Amino acid sequence: MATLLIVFSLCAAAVGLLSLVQSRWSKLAAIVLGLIATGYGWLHELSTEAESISFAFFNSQVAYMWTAISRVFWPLVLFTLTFVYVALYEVRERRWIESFVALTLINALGIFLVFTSRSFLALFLGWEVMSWSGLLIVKLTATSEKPVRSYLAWSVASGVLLLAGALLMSKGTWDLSFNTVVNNLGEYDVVAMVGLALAFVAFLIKLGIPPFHLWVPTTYEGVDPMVSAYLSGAMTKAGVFGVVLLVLITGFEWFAQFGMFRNIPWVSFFIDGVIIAGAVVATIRAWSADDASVLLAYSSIAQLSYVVIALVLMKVESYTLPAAFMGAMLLSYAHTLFEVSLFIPVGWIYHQVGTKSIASLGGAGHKMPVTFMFGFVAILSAVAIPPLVGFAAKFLIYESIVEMKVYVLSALALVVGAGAFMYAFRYVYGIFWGQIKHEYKEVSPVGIVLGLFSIALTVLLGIFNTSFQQFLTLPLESFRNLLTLDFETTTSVGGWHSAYLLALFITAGLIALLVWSSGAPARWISPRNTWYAGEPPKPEWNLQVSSHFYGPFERILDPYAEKVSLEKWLQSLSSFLEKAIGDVIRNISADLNASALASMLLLVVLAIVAYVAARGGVLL
Amino acid sequence: MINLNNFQINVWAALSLLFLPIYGTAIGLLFMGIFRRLSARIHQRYGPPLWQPYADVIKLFSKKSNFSHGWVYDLGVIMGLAGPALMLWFIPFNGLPNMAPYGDLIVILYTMVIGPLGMALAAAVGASPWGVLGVARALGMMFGYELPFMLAVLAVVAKAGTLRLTEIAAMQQSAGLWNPSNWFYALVPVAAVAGHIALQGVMGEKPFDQAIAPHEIGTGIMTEFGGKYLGMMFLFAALNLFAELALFSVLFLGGGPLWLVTLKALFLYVIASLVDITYGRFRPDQAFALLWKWPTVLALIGLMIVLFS
Amino acid sequence: MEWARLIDKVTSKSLWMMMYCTGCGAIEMPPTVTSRWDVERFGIMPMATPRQADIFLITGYLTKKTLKRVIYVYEQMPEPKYVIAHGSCPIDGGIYYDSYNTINRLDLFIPVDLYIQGCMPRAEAVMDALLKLREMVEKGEANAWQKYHENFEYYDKNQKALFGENWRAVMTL
Repeated sequence: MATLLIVFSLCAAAVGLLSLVQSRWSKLAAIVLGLIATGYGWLHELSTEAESISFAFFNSQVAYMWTAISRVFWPLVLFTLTFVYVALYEVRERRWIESFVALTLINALGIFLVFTSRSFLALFLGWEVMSWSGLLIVKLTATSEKPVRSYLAWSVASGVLLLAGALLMSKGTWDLSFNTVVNNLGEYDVVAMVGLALAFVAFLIKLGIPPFHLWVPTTYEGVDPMVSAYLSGAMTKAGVFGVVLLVLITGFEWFAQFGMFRNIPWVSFFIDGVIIAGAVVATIRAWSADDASVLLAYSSIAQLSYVVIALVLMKVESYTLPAAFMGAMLLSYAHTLFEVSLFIPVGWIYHQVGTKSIASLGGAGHKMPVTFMFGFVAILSAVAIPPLVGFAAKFLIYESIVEMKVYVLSALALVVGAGAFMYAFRYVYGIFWGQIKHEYKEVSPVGIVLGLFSIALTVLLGIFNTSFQQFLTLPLESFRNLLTLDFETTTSVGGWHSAYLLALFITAGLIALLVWSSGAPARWISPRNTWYAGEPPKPEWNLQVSSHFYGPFERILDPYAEKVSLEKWLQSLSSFLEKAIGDVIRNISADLNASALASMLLLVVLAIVAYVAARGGVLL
Repeated sequence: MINLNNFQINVWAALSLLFLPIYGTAIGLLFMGIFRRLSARIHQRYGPPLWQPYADVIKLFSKKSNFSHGWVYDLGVIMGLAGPALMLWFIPFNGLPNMAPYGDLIVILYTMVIGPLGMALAAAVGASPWGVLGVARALGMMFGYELPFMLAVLAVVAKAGTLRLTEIAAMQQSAGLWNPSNWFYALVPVAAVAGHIALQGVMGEKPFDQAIAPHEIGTGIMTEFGGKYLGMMFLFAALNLFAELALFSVLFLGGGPLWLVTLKALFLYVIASLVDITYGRFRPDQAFALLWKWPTVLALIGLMIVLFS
Repeated sequence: MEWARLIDKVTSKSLWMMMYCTGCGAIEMPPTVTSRWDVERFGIMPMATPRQADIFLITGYLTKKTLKRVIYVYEQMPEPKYVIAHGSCPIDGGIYYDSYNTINRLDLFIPVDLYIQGCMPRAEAVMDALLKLREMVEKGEANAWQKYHENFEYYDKNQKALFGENWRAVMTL
C-alpha cells in the first residue's frame, strides 16, 4: 500500500516535471508514466494482504487499510485512468496533457485513500486531496471561470458538510473511526443523526445526485471532454463509496426505527422519492441539452440515481450479498465503462473539429465508423440493452426494487430507463449520423484499438456478470474461482441467463441477416440522396435536426420539470455559494493556489464551528 | 459450471424455437391484412384480399435494385428484425419449448426496444430529416406510454408477486384454460384498462401513430426505406405486432397454447384496429399529455387497489 | 424462368403508387383510391415517398421546373418501376402545347409505360389504366424502366438539351 502511494506520487512528480517541457515526446512520456503507475495499481489490485497505514492525529486515529471493499472499488479508478491515458494519445493538444496526467495521478491517489479509509478523518483527508486536485484538473482546461467556480463552490460545500457531519457523528469526541460512529448512531442520538444526514448530502454532491447536481453540467460544459471522462468515470465513484459506506453503517434496519410503511422505512421512501423525481428531471434535461458534455452529464446523473435508489432500499441482514448491492456495484462499473467510452469519442471529435455543441456536429460516423461503434456500444450499455453490462446492472437493481415490493418506484425507474433512449438517440444521431458537415471533411478516424477493447469489455462483462458477482462475494485468492461458467442470475422474483440471451441474440441476428440477404444486393448511395418532396437537397441546406429535437415533448414537460427540480432555488443557492467563495478568492489573490488555501482556511473555521456546536449539543 | 447433461441437443425444441418467429411474422402479416380489410369495410369499400401483405412483402424483397446508406444502415435494419424475434422467444406458450425460464419480464421489456432502436439507427444514418423526426416522435411517445404501461404491468407483478412470465401465465390458468376469473384483466381491472389504453401507444395505432404519420412527415422512419429494406421493416412491424399482442395476452388475458394466444391477440388487435380506424391522429404533445394523464391516473388507482387490498 | 413469372404475378398483385400532381388532375385521385372506386382491392395503394413506390403516376402538364423534380424522383425509385402519364399534357402538351414553359412530351425524358389520354381523364380511365398495367406486369411486358438503362444517352441528351449541360451538378450529392 505504501509502495502504491510512493509509485503514484513519484510518477506524478516526474510527469509534473515533464510538463515544463511540453513537446510531443514529453506528452508520450507522460502517458507512458501514467500507464506505468496505473499498471502498478492493477498489480496492487491482485494483492490480498490486509496492509494498513495508521497514525494518530489529535484524539483520533487516521487509518487506511486495504480491504475487500477497497479491492472492489479500486478497479473503477484504474479502468478510467487506463482508458483516458490511452485516449490522450490521440489528442493533438500540447498544452495540458502532462499536467493533466500528473494531476489525475494525484487525484487517483486521493480516491485510493478514500476507498481504503477506516475512519471518517482518514476519509476526509483523502476526500480533500481528491477535491483540490480535482479543482486543478478542472482549472486546467476550463474555458471560463464559471465551471471552476461552480466546481469549487460545491466541492467546498461537500468537504465542509463531510467534516461537519463526521464531527457531529463522533459527538464532538474527535474519535472518528467507523466503529465509534456505528455505536453513536445505534443510540439514535439526534446530533449524530444530523451528522449522518450532512455526510450523506456531502456524498450526494460528489455523486451529482439531484437536487445537488448543479455543478455537474456546469463543470462538464466548460472543460475538455477528456477531463469530464475522468471526473465522471473516477471521481463520482468516491461518492458511490461514501453512500455504500453510510448504508452499510446504518442500513435498512436502522432506518426502520423511524417508522415503517408496508415494511419499507419512511426514510427510504422519502429519499427514493426525491431521487427518482430528480432522475426524471435529469433525463428531460439530458435530451434537451445542446452541448454533448451536458447531455452526458445529465445522463450520468440519471444513471447514478439508480445506484442510490437501490442502496437506500437494501437490507443488509442476510449472509448473502443482496441484489441491490450487486446491482449498485455492477452499475458503478458499467457507468465508469460507458461514461468514459461516451466522453472519449466526444473528446476526439472536439479536438479535431473544435466544438461539442450538437447543433454544429453530425455525420462524424461516416468518417470514423469504429469511433462510432465505440460510442454506440457504450450507449447501448447505458440504455441497458441485454446482454451488455449495463443491462446486467440495471436488471439487478430493478429486481431488487421489485423484491422490496416498491412497485410505483420500480415503474418510475423503468420509465426513466425508457427516457434514456431519448438522449441515447440524440448522442448517436446528433454527433455521428445525418449529413456529413463541412467540418468533417478533414476528420480522420481514431481510437480503433481502444474502441475494440471497450466494446469487448462491455460485452464480456455483461456475459460474465455472474463472475463479477463472484468477485464481490469471494475473497480474491485464485482466479480459478473467480471465473464462473454459470451464467444464470436468479433472484427471488426472476432471473436471466446471459449466455443463452447472447446465443439467442446471435441466432436472431443471423435469421435477420438471412432474410436481408435474400433480396437483391443494395447499392450504397450518399446520405444526402434523400427524398425531400422531390427537391434534390442543395449543398448549403442543413438537413440535420439538431435543435429542439424533442420539441413537442420539451414544450409540455419543461414547465413541470422546472417546478419539480427546484432549479431556480438551487441556482440561487449555487450562485450564492459561488459568490461567497469567489469573493474570498478575489480578496486574497487571483492565484488559485492561494485561493485554495483560503478556502481551506474557511473550511477549518467552519469545522471548528461545527465542532463547538457538536460539543455544545453533547453537553446540553 | 457447465453441466453437460443440461446441454442435450434437443432438435425438436430448437426447431420449434426457430419456427416461432416465422409463425409470428406470418400471423402478424395476416393481422395486417385483417386490418386493411376491416378498415375498408368501415370505409364502405371492398378492400384488399387477406393475403395482400404477403404479396407486398414478396414484391418488396423481389425488387431488382435497392439503396443503402452504408453498413450501419444495414446493421440497423438487421438489428431491427432480430429484436422482436428475440423478444418472442421469451414469451411462454403452453406446450411449446421456450426460453421464458431464462429471462423474466425485465428482459422482455428491454428486448422489446432492440428492434425499434435498430430501425431508428437505420433512419438516422441517412440525412433525411423526416426519418429522424419520426424517431424523435417514436421515442417521445415511448416515454409517454411507458408510464401507464409500466404501472399497469407492475400492478400485475404486485398481484402475482413475481416477474417470471411462466408463473404469471400459470397463475391465470389455475382455474382452467377457459375460465377468465383468474385472468389479470379480471383481477386488476382498472390497471388492465389503463394498460390497454397504453397498448394502443405501444403498437403505434391511432391516435398514437405520430411516429409514422403519413402525409405529415413522409412516413417517419420508413421515409428512406425502399425495396428489401422496406420489406424488412414490414416483417419487423408484423413480428413486433404479434410479439406485443402476445405479451399483453400473457400478462392480462391468461396466455395459453400458441393457437389460443393467437386468438386472444386477434381479439385485442380487432379492438385496437377499430379504435385506430375511428380516431384521428393527435398532435405529439397532445398525445403525450393524454398518456400521462388519464391512463396514468387509472393505472395508479389500479396499482393502489392491488397494494391496499 | 418460372420463378420470375411467379414473382411477376405476385408483383402485379401489389403495386404501390406515387402520385405527382402538380399540374391538374389531382382531383381524379380521391375517387380512385377511396370508396367510389377503391383501387386498394387490387392491391394498389398510394405511398408517400418514391423509395416505397412502384408506379409513378404523373398527372397534368409538366414545366421545366417540375420536370427536373420528376426525373430526380424517378431515379430515386427502386426498380422495377412503372410510369403512367395521365392526361393529354404529358403526351403532346395538350392545350398548353404552345406555352413557352411547358414540355410537350414526357417520354423524351423518362420512359413511360402507359398513357391515359383525355382532358381530363376520369377516375374510370385511371382505374382502367391501372388494371391494364397490372396485366402488363403480370405478363412481364411493363419493361419501360429497362429502357432508361439501355437508352440512357438518348434521355440524357434530351434532358441536357432542355436544362443545360450542368443541370445534374445539383444532384451530385
